[in-house]
Amino acid sequence: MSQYDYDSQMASWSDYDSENYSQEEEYDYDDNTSSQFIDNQNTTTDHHLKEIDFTSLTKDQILARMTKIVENTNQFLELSFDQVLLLLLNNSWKQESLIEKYLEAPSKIAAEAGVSLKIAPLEYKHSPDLFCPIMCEEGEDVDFFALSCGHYYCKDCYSTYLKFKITEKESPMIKCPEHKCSYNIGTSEIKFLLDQNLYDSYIDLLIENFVNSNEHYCWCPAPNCTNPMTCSFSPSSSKYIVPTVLCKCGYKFCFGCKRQNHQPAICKIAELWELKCKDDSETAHWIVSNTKECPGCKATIEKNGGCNHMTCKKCRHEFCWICKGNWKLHKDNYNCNRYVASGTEEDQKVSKSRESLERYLHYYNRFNNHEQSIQLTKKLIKITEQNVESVQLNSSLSWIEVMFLHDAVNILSECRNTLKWTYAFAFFLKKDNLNIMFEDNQSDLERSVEQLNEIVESKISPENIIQTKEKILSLSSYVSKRNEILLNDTLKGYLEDRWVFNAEL
Amino acid sequence: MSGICKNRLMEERKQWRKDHPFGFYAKPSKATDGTLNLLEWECGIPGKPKTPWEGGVYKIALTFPEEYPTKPPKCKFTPPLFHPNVFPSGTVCLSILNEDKGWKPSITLKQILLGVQDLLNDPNNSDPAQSEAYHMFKNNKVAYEKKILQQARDHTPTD
Repeated sequence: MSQYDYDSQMASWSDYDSENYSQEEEYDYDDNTSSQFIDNQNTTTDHHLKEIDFTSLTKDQILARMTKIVENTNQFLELSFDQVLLLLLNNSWKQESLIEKYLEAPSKIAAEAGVSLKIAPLEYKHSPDLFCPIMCEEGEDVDFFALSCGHYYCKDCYSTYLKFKITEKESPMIKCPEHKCSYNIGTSEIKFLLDQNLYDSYIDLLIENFVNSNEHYCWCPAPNCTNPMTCSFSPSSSKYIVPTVLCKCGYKFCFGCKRQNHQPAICKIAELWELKCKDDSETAHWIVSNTKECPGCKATIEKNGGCNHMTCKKCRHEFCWICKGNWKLHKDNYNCNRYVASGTEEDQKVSKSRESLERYLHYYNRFNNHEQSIQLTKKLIKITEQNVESVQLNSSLSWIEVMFLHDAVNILSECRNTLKWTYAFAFFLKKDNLNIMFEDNQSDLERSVEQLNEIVESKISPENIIQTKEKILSLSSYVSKRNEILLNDTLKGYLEDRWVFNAEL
Repeated sequence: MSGICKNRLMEERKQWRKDHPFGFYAKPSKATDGTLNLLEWECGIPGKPKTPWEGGVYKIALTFPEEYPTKPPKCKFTPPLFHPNVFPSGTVCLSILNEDKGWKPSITLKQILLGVQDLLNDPNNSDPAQSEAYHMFKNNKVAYEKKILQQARDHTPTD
């Protein structure tokens, strides 16, 4: 069975006079509440919030858009559908620059794209004079095919060649099998030579090429999701906007860097934070802060208890942990209780690195904690489902009426995700008075999230359900509101250049 | 060996025996029991006249995969050659021998060997495969040519 329904669509991939898909049916999430965190409520005065305009598409919709572009381009070029498609493929789908370049030097641009301006008929030729140089077939009963370059190959060799090129997923621009011939094989020729399955794979290659060569398109990065996404976001605004988009599959991700939603930290912060967490420089910090070198053999030693009389396991050197002096001289002349001004450079270095490690761990622990809670929320959903079921059985409430629990859990994950990234954001933020508001917002959100979490997890019985529902509903809406306020404030801060970072962004 | 691969190699052999460029040789290898192995060929490429490569005949082994002619054969100089586009193992780096680049199933044995011959005196600097020859070719043309001349003398057939 064919993967796509081309019966109507594909007519245009060889005839190109279709009108059935000038109108696209698109699921525009903009009108939906699901994009509430990007496309805030209408009362928001901040028009920047509305800059992000995205649409989750299907492959068929991409194909329809491609067809439209080919047709539009062809109003100027007046060629065949195949020829225009190849020209567009060779020019990264840049319609306007292609038209301009082509009208200036048609034969040059056509040659660059391997497009023949003559069109050979779509038919097999039979002749005793023809010989296929690939499989060495000859004779009148063999089907021979050639592009307008006249390089004849037998049908089987042609399709083996095409099959290989298509399954290797190199490029949808496949050249004539002849050595040094640069003519590309057109869509209708491929349709003529291949069966429907392989032709579908070829169309997939075309769609992939289109999505990959346009900066306003991308693939949903969720595992097992193959939906394309389009977004009007331009990379220049990545300094203040996190272009969060929502795929049909339910996955929320950043269009700029394709990470999972990382609001309110902008892409660069998310990148630096991940780098920081991956980097083992923190391991080095830990070693500096928690260990000392044996003065005898320089082995790294961690003191895990006991007194200050250290004996190195490696070289048996005995020394004092506090002052690193030789123990033999030390025991008669015990001077470690006397404070010696820690003026040495090394001491300062150690305390500085200890401080920076603690700072990092502060943010990392909180970031990680929310991440773990999000993972637990997934379990919570299951518990909630059971809760919902038992509540339904024991009360007169209908399924719709208990859906509030589901919604509450979703809001929880959403807000925990925001909180998580506020810690990455705060790690790079320079301490200054303007941050107090941010920290207030953060702690407000955090407190209300924890409250909501507690209630959602609590045992719901038919007796207390009415009250609990009320509590959860009001708290949920409060939590969403806090989340929105925090995201708006950080966004405003980016736009107003209010944030001062301690890293190069 | 698949039918397609075998037929094509038999045909290549027929064509080569009928006609091949001067100074070249190409023959399927023989197993110890005397049977022919069409997937392994022993070939020789002469250096082009009026180049430092002249006089030498460079031995190259062609290994055809089962998927031939969909996929290209592997070409390996034995012993490895001093040349910017020959890997230390002897394998030749050439676009027409790369299935992702220039390989087309219609390319014949003759075209491959002539292509490698062209490459000898016309290395592709953007695709280095060994550092020694690449750096010498780039930085010291005189020493490079001397080395090539010596290599040609070492590869002169004795009979």
